[in-house]
Amino acid sequence: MAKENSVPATLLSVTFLLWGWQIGMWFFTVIFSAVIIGAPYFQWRFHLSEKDLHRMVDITSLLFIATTIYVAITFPPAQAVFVVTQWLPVILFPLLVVQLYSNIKAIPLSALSMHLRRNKRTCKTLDMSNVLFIMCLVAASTGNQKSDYFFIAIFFIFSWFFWLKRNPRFNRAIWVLLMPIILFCSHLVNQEIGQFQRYLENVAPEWYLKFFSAKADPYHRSTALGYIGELKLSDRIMLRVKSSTPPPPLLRVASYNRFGGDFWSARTGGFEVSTFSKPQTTGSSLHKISIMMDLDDGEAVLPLPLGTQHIWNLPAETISKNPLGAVKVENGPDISMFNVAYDVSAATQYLPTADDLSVPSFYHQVIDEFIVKYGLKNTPKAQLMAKIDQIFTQDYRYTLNLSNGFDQPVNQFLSKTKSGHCEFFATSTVLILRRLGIPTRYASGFAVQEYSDLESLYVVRAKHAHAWALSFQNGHWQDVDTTPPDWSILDGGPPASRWITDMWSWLVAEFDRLRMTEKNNTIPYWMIIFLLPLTWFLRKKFKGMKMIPWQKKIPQNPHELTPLLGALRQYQVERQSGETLMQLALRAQAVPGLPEKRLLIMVMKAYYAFLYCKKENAETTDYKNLMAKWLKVHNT
Amino acid sequence: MRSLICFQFKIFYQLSQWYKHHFTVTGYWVIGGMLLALMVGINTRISFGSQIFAFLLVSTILDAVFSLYFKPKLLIKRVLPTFTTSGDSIRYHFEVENLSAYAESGITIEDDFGLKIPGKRAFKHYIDPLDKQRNWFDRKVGYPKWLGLVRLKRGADIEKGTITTILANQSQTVPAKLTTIKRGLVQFEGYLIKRPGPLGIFNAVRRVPDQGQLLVLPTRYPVASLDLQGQSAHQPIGSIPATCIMGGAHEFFGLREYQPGDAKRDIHWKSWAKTGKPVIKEYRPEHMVRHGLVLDTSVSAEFHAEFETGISIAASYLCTLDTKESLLDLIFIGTQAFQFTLGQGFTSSTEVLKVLATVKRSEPDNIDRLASLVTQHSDQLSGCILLLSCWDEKRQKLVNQLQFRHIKVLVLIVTTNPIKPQPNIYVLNPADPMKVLSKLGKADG
Repeated sequence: MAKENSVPATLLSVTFLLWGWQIGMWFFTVIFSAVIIGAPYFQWRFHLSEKDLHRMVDITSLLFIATTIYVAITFPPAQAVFVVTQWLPVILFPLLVVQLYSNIKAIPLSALSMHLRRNKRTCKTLDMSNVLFIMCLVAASTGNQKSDYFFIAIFFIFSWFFWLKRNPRFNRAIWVLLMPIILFCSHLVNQEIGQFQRYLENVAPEWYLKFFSAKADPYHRSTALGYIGELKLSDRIMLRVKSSTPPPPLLRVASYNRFGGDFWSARTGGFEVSTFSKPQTTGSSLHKISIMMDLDDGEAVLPLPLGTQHIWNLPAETISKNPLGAVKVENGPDISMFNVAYDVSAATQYLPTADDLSVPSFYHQVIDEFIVKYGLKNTPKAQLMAKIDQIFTQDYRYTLNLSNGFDQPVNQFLSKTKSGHCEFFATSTVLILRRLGIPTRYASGFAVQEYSDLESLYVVRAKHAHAWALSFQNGHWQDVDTTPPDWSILDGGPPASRWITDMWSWLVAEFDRLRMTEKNNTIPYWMIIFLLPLTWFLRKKFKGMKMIPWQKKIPQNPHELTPLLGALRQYQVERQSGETLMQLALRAQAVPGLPEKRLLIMVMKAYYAFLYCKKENAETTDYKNLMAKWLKVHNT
Repeated sequence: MRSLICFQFKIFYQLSQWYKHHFTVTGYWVIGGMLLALMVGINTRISFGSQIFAFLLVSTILDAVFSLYFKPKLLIKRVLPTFTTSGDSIRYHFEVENLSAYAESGITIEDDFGLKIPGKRAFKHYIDPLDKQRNWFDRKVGYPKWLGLVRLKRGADIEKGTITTILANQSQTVPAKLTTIKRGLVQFEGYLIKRPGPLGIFNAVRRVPDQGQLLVLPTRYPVASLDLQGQSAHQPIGSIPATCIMGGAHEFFGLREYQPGDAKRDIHWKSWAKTGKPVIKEYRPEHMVRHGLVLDTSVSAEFHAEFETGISIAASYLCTLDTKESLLDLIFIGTQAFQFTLGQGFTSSTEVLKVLATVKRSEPDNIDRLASLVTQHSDQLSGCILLLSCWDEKRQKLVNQLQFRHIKVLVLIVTTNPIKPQPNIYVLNPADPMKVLSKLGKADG
């Protein structure tokens, strides 16, 4: 690719500054900018052979693959894409250094793949300054610093870029007028994209929300009520629970008090900062567990046992709680292993409200029939939970193959199909208890039921996501799980390959634990594991590489006539590829307004005499004098 | 199914051509950036990628709007060489005159070959020479193969045009470069005039129709001259009329008395003056060494590479064999039977190369016609080079017939199939014919 298509060093440095500002990688930004700006002042260049270049590309590829694997196993998928993107300028920077500091002026596309290397079918090249320019801007956009300065910054950077690329055929005024229009229109388009996303979120199925919103929403819970087909569940390990005593069977993420037909929502007063600094009760009823989990971008709604009183070893900036018991952390680490102390009997927390007794009118008839059919109205409250549990276990069936349809799915579940998954059982229980006058809420979270011998702790998989009811009895909230106990078996046995994924997950978890033990923010010692062999490899591979003096770019025009050619350019007389100087001078004769046309021819003749007759002094002085004379006329 | 695939390829190709012509190098980066920004910015709550996407999208659209007002007033003339050789790169130019009152900056002029879309039959029979180098996916999908066929139909690769400025009411020469990839005629459909918008992202493209063509001669190999060691043969009067024109004439045999019907031009005036009665100069036809170069065109479509190699070998020998003291006939079957003679003032090698440039495959059963044509002329031939595409019974019979008539025969078979070694029969691999040709020249020369 031609050099004129490269991004200038200053613009590239400014782009790196934007990236560093948005991502917070000032250390790299300063070094990279210095390397880019310093390239023209460095008088030596590495002499790289084709083989050396291939090695550099291989190292970059390995770096990219290693980063991708590490990020993929460390972060949730939605976040992993962002993390890799943010690091791409760092990963690709060595190739820019190759371009700036070696005899290779652009990276041949054939070097980028083994297949192309073998066949050598393409002679196209890739200008790394353009790649890094685009990559820095895109990477910077993932920083999400929540300010309008980013938009202003990209406006100035792109304006600069487009100014360099503009077509001189158009008046500069047109270009200047165009930029505010672009700014205004792009702002509108950006707003429309945001609107479109909000529209999609309202109409899109749950998978959209799950994919794009990695954090649990404590205010809104879409359910699979009304879904038809088979639900697929994942074996991915979400949490690890360590407990010296039997762990709590259920870890609640959030609870909800309003039912909208096929979704639950929480009507609360919002989150309030809570310290969870010390337990309110003591004694044998207080249990302790440790939970290890990923926090998405340092934020998450924590899965906690009912009656959580104390949380420690969680280095988050903010821990807050809503009146329904959901606990949210913000600005925490990406991975956390924290301790929890809880007392189930002390789970009074917030008292019930009128919302905890409301049942949508279109469910009244079916639920009342259910209550009458099973004689629940006359059942003592102490035996009520056990009886509902018994009814669901005996007469109802757990299944993930849903056929209830969209029309009032709970009605269909209770009166017709009598089969469904945990959300049906939990929702039905909540609605039945509410009709019986018992304040009840819907809770979602995880069931702790699988002990891993490999890790000597409890593992909670994505498939263990569960829903149940919370009823207010005897002055405190209690978990009421009426889903038939065989649900975990019916979820299907583990796939044959699960031991591999579990082993991998365990290795990653151990690695994370190792990282969490780092005290300082400096380069962790485990990095040496990678750095030592890498240094050895690089030293071996590039041993004996030569440095050569940099031969500065030969100017396209003979440097002696550069002032003259520059002046001619003002008359739109540009030297074409393959055009001789005399042809240029002859062509210029027809240009209106060009001064001293004959003198121009004389300059060229004198210059030819200087070049080809090899006579000293007289002719040399002659062409220089003539050129100076012409330029003087031109300037006046 | 194949029709559907070809249709999809066509649509994709047209889209890619539109993209290639309408976006500048800056435009490619802008589109790349837009796609990346869209990928990371799809969720506007957690990324600002949508801002980059929006900015680049609006810039591209506005730049494209300016392309609607591009009406160049340029008079263009393509100046091409008379002919070139397959595989060669040639530099030619356009003479461009700007008829408008303002300068045209940043414009690019390129030749347009039009859409050379191959048919499904051609796609089915085409054997991709790069097939082994392609990866599994490319081989399975077949699009690169289809692109290869499009390129072959086009006949040449055009180098990207030079960005130039043409002053108002001025003429200028704009250089261009193309590389031919096959022999035959390269057909030009017109010119593409491109000019980027004010932001330098989107090209305004205008097509100016102007048909033209360039003759591409076959590739030639550096072969050594062959000594076919044949004896001179009788050349009947009239078969070589050009020798008379050139002054070579038939051989003078003697004088005899005039007989009614003799041409007045043959009267020997001096003898008539001495004897007092008309005397006629008598000639007898000259005996000359005459070689034949027989090209087997009866080749089916799947042996395209073999056929092309055969033509290149024929072209190589036509230019190499000595025709100062002998004649050389090129014999082949095209739409009809053809025989072109080189040397002794006959057709020049360039003219015969031009003929070879346009030779096409004939029906496989045309070998019988070729055999009868060669046999018919065999009494004039001293030696013969047979360029065959296979070694079947009919071709063996033709060689036997020529050998029976004591004509020195050199058989060159261009094929990948193994053939039992025999004297004066050489098997050439179409991918590397020089392996044998180089030895052949040395051995015989």
